[in-house]
Parts: sequence; C-alpha cells; structure tokens
Amino acid sequence: MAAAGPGRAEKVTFDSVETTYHSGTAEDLNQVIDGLDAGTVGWAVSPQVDQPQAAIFRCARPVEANEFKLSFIFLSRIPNAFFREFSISTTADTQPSLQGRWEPLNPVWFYAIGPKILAVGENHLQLAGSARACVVRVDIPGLNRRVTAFRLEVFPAPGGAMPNQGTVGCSVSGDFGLTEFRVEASNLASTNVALACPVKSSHPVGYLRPEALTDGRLTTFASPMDPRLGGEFFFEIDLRSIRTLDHLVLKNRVDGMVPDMLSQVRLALYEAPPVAEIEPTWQAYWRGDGSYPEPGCADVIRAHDGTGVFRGRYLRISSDSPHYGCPQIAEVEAYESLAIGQFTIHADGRELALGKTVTVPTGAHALSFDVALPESLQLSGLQVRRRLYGDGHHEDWRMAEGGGLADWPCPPPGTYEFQAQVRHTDGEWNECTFLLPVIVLPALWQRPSVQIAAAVALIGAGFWSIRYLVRYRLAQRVADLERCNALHKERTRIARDMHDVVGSRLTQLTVMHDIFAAEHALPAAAVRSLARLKKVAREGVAALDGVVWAVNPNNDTLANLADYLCHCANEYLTPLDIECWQDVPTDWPDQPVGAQARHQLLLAFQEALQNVAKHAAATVVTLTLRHEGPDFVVRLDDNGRGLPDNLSGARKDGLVNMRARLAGIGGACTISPRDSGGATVEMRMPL
Amino acid sequence: MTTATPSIRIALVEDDRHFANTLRCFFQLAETVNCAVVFPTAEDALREVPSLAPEVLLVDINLPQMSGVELVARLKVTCPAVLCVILTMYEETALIFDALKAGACGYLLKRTPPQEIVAAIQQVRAGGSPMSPQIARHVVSFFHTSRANDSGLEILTEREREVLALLSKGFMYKRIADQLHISLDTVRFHLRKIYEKLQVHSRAEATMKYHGRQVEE
Repeated sequence: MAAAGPGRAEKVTFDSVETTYHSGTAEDLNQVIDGLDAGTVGWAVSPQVDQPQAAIFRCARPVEANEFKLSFIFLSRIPNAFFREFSISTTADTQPSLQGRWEPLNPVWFYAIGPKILAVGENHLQLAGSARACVVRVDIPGLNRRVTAFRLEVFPAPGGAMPNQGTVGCSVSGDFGLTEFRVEASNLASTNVALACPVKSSHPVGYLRPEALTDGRLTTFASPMDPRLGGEFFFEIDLRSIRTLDHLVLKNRVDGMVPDMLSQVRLALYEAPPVAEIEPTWQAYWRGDGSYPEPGCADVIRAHDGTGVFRGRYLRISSDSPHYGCPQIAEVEAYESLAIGQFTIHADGRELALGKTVTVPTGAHALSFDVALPESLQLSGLQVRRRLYGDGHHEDWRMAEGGGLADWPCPPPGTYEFQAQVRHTDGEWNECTFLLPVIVLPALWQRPSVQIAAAVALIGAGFWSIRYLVRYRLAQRVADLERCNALHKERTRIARDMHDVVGSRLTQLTVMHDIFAAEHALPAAAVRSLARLKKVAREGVAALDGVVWAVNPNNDTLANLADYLCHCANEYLTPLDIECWQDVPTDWPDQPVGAQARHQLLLAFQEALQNVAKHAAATVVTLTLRHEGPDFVVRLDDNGRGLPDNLSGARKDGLVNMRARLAGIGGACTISPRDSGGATVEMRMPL
Repeated sequence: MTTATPSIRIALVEDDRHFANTLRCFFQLAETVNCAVVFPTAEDALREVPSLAPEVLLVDINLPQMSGVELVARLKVTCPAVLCVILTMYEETALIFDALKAGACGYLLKRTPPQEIVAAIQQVRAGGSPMSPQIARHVVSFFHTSRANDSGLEILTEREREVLALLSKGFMYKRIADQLHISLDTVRFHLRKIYEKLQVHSRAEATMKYHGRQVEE
C-alpha cells in the first residue's frame, strides 16, 4: 500500500536487448520486449543452463521513477520454464552494456503467480514449485535516479531435474523461457520525500531489508536481527538532500503482530552524515510512555514534538524500548514543508498588484485567488485549501484541487488574511500556512482615514476660522490699542511740546515783562502797555494750559478732572481776592473722561468762573464736585448779588455758550438763584 | 522784594535753557534769591548739589533722563538739608503728589508770576510748605488709605488734621489761622510737618510694599 494518492505508472519501452547467451533467434529475443504479453517464444539459454546468464534491456529513453514495477512472464507452454534464482540491476550508463556499471537493487515487493517466490541472500530472489505458466511481479526502488537499462541475471541453482547440477531454469531441461519482460515506471503521487530513499541500519535487520521502511508499503517492515541491541541499533534514512520538514510519519506493521515494538522511539535529524561528534539539528523522543501506534494508523510527528530546527538529510531512528528487536517499523515517511508557488489575485477580473499586502479597491464584487503550486508539487490531486480570514470573517476553508482559481464574493471593507494550505499526500495539511494580508478598501467616505481626515479638516477649518476670527479680532483690537496707544503717545507728545515750547516761551514772556519793568525806567504809558502785554501773555499761558491739560491723555480721569477744575478755580479766583471754597470728595471712582468732554466742560467752567468774577460781585465761591449716578456734577455757588430777572449781554452769551458746550457732550447747564443770595451754576456731564 | 533778609542761595534744575536763564535773570534782579547754578539734568544736580549745598533747589519734574521726582528722592538721602521745591509746567496733581511724597516741600507752576515764585522760595526757606486744596485732599486720602498705620489719619496730630481739613475745603492760610486761632506761621509749620509725615510715611509704605508685596499703588 503506497502513501495516499493515486500514482502515475508509465510503461518503459525498450529498444534493444542483449544477452550473454540466447538459444533462439534474435527475432525470438525481441519478442521479449515487444510489449505484448502474448507469444510463446522469448529468451532461452539451453543448453547453457548450468552457467549464470544475463540479459540487458536498453530503454528507448532514460527513465526516472521512485519505483519500477517489473513483470516477468513465462508463457512458453513448457512446464516450469521459469528462473530458479535471479537478481535485478539498473544502470545509468549512456551506452549500457553487459560489462557496464550495474547497481543491484533490492526488490521491495515481489509476487509470483504459479511458483512460490522468496528472497535469498543479497538482492536475490528464488522461484520454486511447479506451474505451467508463471507471472512474477517484482518491485524495485527507482530512487528517482536516471535509468538507461535494466539487467536481469539468472543463476544456476540446485533442485531441478538434474539433482547433481544446478540449472538456471526449472524446466525439465533446466532452461527457462522468458516470453515477456515489462517495466512500469511508477511515480507515486506523494509528497513523502522519504519514499524510496536509501535506508541503512547499524546492524543487520531481520526478515526484510531496511528499505522496507521507505518502500511505501505497510506490508513490509524491518527490525534489528539481533533482538538484544536495544538503543544501539538504528535505522538511518538518507533523504538525499537537506530538507526542511513539515512532519514525519511512523507506521507500525499492519498485521497487528507485536505492535509494541514501535515505542519509545528516538528520532534525530542531521544535516551532515551523522558521526559520533555531530549533534543533530532536531531530535525527538516519541511515545516515551511505552504506547505504540495502532496497526494501520499513522503517528504524525511535527517540529514541536522535538527540539531544534526541523531540518536535515539523515534521519536516524532507534528505540529505548526494553522489548526485544525494537524498533520494528513498517514505514517512515518524511514530508517537506510546502510553499505555494505563484499566486495571483483578481478583483472583478482585474489583476491586483502584489506586495506585502494586497489592496482590493473600493467596490470590488468578486475576488479570485489563483494559486499555482511549484513545479516540484505538480502532482495530480494535490489539495489546496484556502480561506479569507479576519475582521470577524471566519470563513471555512475552501477545498480545491491543486492550483487554479477560487472565487470569493468580496467581503466587506476590512483587513483580511488570505490563507492557503497544501495538503500532503498522507492527508496532513502542511503546517506552514501561506498568508497574504488582504485589505479591502472601504468606499472613500467609509475609510477611517478619510473620516478622520474629514473630521480633522472640519475641526481644522473650524479652528482656523475661530483662530482667524480671534486673530482678526485680536488684530483689530491690537490695532485699536495701537491706535489708542499711538494716539495716547501723540497726545502726550503734543501736550508736552506745547507746554515745553509754546508754554515755556509765553511764560518766559511774562517773566521778561517783569525784568524789563525792573531794568528800565519806563514812562507810565509804556508800563501800562507792558502790563497789558503781560496780561495777554498770562491769559495765553492759561488758555494754553487748559488746552494742553485737555489734550494730555494722562488727565483722562475723573480725579484729574476734579483736581484741575479746583486748580483753575483757585488760580482764577484767588488773584481776584475771591475765596474759593471747595466741597470736593477726596476719592473718585476710576472713571475715564474723554479729552473732548473734559475740554468742553473746562471751557464752560472757565466761562462760569468769568461770569462770577465779572458779574456776581462775590467774595466767596464754593465749588462743589460730585459724582451723582451717571453724571459728573460741577456746581459753583457764589455769594454775589444773584441773577437779574432777564439775563442779557455778555452774561447771557456766556450762558448760551456754556449750554452749547455741555449740550455738545450730552450734558446740561443751569443757572439758578440761591435762596441765601447769589447764584448757582450747575453743570452736568454724563460719564 | 525786601532787601533786609540775606539772599537765599538756590539752584535750578531745568532743561529748558531759555526759561531757566530768564528766570535766573529775574532772580538776579530780585536780589533776595541768589541762583548760583542751573543744572540741565538731574544727573548733574545729583553730582554737584552735595558740594554746592544750596538752601533751596527748584526742580523741574520732566527732565531728559532721571525725573525730578527721583532726583528729589535721592537728594533726600544724600542732602536732607536741601529744600526741594517742584517747579513744573504741569498741574498734574498725581505727579506733584509723588514729588511731595519723595521729599519735596512744595511745588510751583512755572507760569506762576516770578514775584510769587520768589515769595514761595522765601516761605519755604522760612519753614513753610505751600499746599493747594487738591494736594491737601490727596494727603487726606493718602493717610486715610495708608496701610503703614492702622490708625490711619491718627498719625497726624489733631491740629494737623484740622489744618488739612480746612485746607482741603479751599480755605486760605489766613482763614485757617483765624478759624483755628493760630498764627499763619503755625499753619505753615503744621503743613511742613504734614509734608514730613507724608514723606516718612511714604517711605514706610514703600518699604511695606516691598516686603509685604502689597499690590496697592
């Protein structure tokens, strides 16, 4: 029984046959390789039946196989006209000849219809018994090596009609009649790389040869001949090249006899021919508990069952079992780690670019995955299973034979893994899974990146808008402030310049008047004129002071306004010998008063002072300043002669002016007589 | 313009050379006041005043670099005997009050008639301290809100407070003297004392502000 999977058997054609001796015609001999089982003539060696004879069969073209199935057909109608003892060799010589290099091969399996068949000695088989017709089947390992010709050797053996003389055939004459030789080259469809690999043993084996372990047959098995060797004995399988393995399989003999002889197995893989000092690349102790695989069952051993790298060329197998004759093994199989070869992915018939990941464009309906197995795995019937896996998409594996297309409806947007696994011919899935990340893109608006980008953009836009607005407003405010500040500075500068330049000169003028008056003996008229000049200059200084005070932004407060009004009243009235009593709070709210308002109020106030000075004939003026609700109130009470019934002339004009000035700043001005005499001028300025 | 009293040695700190020379010219005519030097900057004054030792120093507030207020404060330390009078173009009460707190014992506006300036210098020399009602109110307000002494105005004597109260009502020195039945000189004496207490208190408050990190101006 071969490893799982159908095989391919191919008839080997021969174009010539050469023998050491042939008793018939060349035509007869050619009938042996004519490919037809019918026919009664063939190769015979009578009378040289007491000598070893050989025949070589040259192949029409070189053949390779992991096994050759040889058929020997004896239909000469002569009873028992079959070989007594024979062996089979092959050659890879380009010009195969009887004298060429031949390699004897151990039959891994044989069967005979008619006589009994048994193996004797090195590579030899013997036929015994009697039969009118005979068909012998012998399977020899092909070792996947090039074979250009097969050699059949026949040896004289005793036991025939001539008791004292060994003969090559079993017929009465000691001859044989091989009417047909047929070979089928069998390539078992198997991923088992150990199949038909050379096997040797540390010590002789009993029953069959060590190659029984790799002959693909469970019916054959091998075990040490000396049952007491224990762990000393080992089989060594040459996998013919260093291979990275997926799994190993150990199989017990199928007849159920002494199954416990496959237990406590030590397995070791070596990359180089194992000698004492070489450490294995991988080793395992299998079924150390003394259990054993049931007949017909396979023990699958994977990398993780042992330690090291699951790779090597030489596989040594021994056993620590205390039972005699261990290990007894029917078959050892080794399966290489398989990789998917070519791979393509189509979305709606369009091939997608393959990178480390595959990106499926938006809106694809169907995906198809095309898996091509590497050439070495072009075995018919090899199964590959695939699935798309991930993002909650737990899909069952889909089976497919070999490569080819597999279609999927395109899954929802997400990240998946396309997984593919090759199934070994023993039915085990290759542990190493082919993985390909697949990203199914969502529609543009579904993509988180786009959504995030949109959100970010939105927030950004909002932010920038707000920032812009804030900045704009801030800029405006800064500009306002700068304007204010600049204005403030400018006003201060103007005030200072006016004071320092104009005021100072005017003041200087008034002082100079006194100097002139003192220095020179002037006529009285000149002194009077100078005095008028001095008066005008003084008024000019006072007027300038008022303007400059109003312009100076440092005075834009209620407290300063109050101070200045008091100062003006004092300065104006005191020289006139009018006392200026003051009813003024010591503290004022921090209330700004604009320059325009201050100046208008100041002018109105000075007008009122003039009125009092000129018309009231008062000796005391009481200045009352108040902050009443929204208004700043200025009241001048004099102790003069009061108001006439009808205001007229300059006084009326003055009142008109005062009212006009206060109206201009939203205020009011009233003049009323006091009960105790005199008059009250009240000016209200809204703040 | 009496000639009976010896002339008062003064110096002027004024960056307006024309105005300074004109005023100095007037002082020479007046003879009661002897203006020896005009310093164009506070720095010059600060360097020269200790050796010059004028009796009265007229100080402009707005000077090119160091202000008149700061000059007064510094001279109060180096030459406490020099009487500083602020001579300013501006009727800026707050600024003037700062100068008074710094140690000035009076202030005059430049546009004040020069005879009055001379009179004021004489008054100051005689121990007086000219104070306007506005300044009086600032003083009242200062002592009222002062943190240097929890008793506030109590740092001032009863009489000082009475003088201040009357002055802040705009009463003239004469009326105050009459009302309080004291002499005019006593009124002036009280005002000088008030100025001194203002200065001492200002320094104390400044120190407290420094140590106590008071935010209040």
